[in-house]
Amino acid sequence: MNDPRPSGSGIRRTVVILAIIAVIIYLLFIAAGVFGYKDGA
Amino acid sequence: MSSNTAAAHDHTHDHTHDDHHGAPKGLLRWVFTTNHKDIGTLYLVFSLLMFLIGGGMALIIRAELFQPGLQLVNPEFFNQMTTMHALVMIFGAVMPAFVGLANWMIPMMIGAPDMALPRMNNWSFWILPFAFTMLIGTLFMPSGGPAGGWTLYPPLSLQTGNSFAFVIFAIHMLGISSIMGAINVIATILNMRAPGMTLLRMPLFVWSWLITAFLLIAVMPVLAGAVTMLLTDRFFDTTFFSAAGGGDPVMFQHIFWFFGHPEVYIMILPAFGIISEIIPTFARKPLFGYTAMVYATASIAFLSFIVWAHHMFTVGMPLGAELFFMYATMVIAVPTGVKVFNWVSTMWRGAMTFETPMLFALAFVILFTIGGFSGLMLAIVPADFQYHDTYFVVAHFHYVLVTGAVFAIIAAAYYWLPKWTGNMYNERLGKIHFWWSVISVNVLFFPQHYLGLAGMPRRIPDYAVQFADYNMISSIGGFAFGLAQLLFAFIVWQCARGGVKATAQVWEGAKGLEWTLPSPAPYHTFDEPPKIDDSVVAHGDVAH
Ligand code: HEM
Ligand SMILES: [Cu+2]
Repeated sequence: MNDPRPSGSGIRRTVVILAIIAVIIYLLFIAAGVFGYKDGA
Repeated sequence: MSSNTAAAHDHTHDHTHDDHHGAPKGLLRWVFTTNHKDIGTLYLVFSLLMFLIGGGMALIIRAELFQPGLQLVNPEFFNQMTTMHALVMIFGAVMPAFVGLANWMIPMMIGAPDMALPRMNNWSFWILPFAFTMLIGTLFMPSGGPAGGWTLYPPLSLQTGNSFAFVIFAIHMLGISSIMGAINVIATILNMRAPGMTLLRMPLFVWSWLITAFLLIAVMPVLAGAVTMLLTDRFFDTTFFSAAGGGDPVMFQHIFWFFGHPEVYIMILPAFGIISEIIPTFARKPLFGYTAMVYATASIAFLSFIVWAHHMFTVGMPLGAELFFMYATMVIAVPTGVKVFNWVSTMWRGAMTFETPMLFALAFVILFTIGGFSGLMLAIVPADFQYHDTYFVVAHFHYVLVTGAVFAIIAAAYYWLPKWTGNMYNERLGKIHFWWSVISVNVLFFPQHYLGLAGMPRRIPDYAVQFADYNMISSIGGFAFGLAQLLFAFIVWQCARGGVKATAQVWEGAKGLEWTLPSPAPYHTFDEPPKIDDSVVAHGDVAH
């Protein structure tokens, strides 16, 4: 916390990591749906 | 041409110049704004509008239930009202109100000049009016709006007509807006604090929002996944949730509640933060157990991920699962109890005064706790077999959401309005609003406990005659409560227009960076980082 002002790279890193997490969770749960099939009719 | 360019240049110049000293004028200010205070105001005004629209739907429900029998609306429309009321209140009123408060207050509380991502901030807001126009617009489509409940359980929700596609699209947009908002909050708090504003010096409102934002990023994509699969089941012949095609309708409930339970905490953690700001101010004492509050909030957030199936006790789960989710749910009462205990201890021997924000905060502590107790009753598996899908559940979640979340939002509005507008609101009207609300809200929701225990199912337009008396009482309370909120809208409007000038500190006992700024807070604040020392650190002064 030496330089507290908008440190572009810190903000960018935070955003990218969080956005990737969100997308992964979305896909993960769709995958859960796909594997939820017993044997398709 | 060249003179035009010169004029345009001058204009741009003026505009930039304005930007650094005051708010630009005109309607476009609101469309293009990247200022956290403007965007906060947009969110809050939007939320108030949705609160009134959702409230109108609730009054249609209460009018129909005033007497047994079908009087005013047909059952299909009644079901659309219960579904839409919930969606509008959750995604349109409560969540945007908290985001609005976050926008206004977080930068001022941590000494940042704005949110970390101002342009994305503009987007997060402006998605909402479109999403809600689409969502509410489904009510006017030939097939009508969604009527299967806000939980969208298949196969029932899949019986919605083609308007279902619009519902799903709207929910996706709301989710994207929330995720962008949450990313913005986290990026701001982690990267933009003034020097010396260490994590454990942040006001609790900021802490509660930091944790809430992580919850949002974790579960909004889960909702998005669930409704995407509903969409493909409805329109593209997949069978994710249809047993006939090898899918599983119960799986939808698991996925939905994996989102749904953390979602209810998304709607209460910022409220906890607000109450933790207001009580110390009006008790004139630092918050009791600051660090315990932070850890309690974090534990509640963690535990909220492992209790989801308490919404599904009656669906037919293995005994071990029923037991696990019952005990896990009860464990949440521990950190929640820590919070209530700390609020009470903060007031203990404080020099208390009872201005309107404090009155709403006190009502919150007592009435939210009633909702917590009915929650504990619902957490008992054998009892829930009796209570599930009755008005007892309706009573429970309205205590935690209306006298909990909504009361906290109202308290926050009264608490910070002088800082936002530079004027004091009318204290006498505020007190009338409080007493009118607190009495009518109990007339509205307390009888619903009895109705539920006596077996009245939720989401029905007609009921057996033995439920008539309590329903009539509840409806009367409902109309009185609705009227009281029109008074609230008037008080806010009046305060925005003028009134007694507020001082910078506004409240005698108020501490924190936001109170070092003049009232109204200038358009741009903390362009230079403020000096942080213990005298300006809010109630998060751990040394005390
Ligand atoms: C003190 C901790 C709490 C416990 C033990 C608890 C427990 C429960 C249980 C077991 C249910 C399911 C009842 C059923 O459907 O049969 C339920 C429903 C619900 N709770 Fe809570 N709850 C708590 C706090 C909260 C809070 C803080 C909120 C929101 C701010 C909340 C909002 C809801 C909602 C909206 C429902 C109904 C969802 C629906 O079916 O539409 N609860 N609660
Ligand atoms: Cu729950």
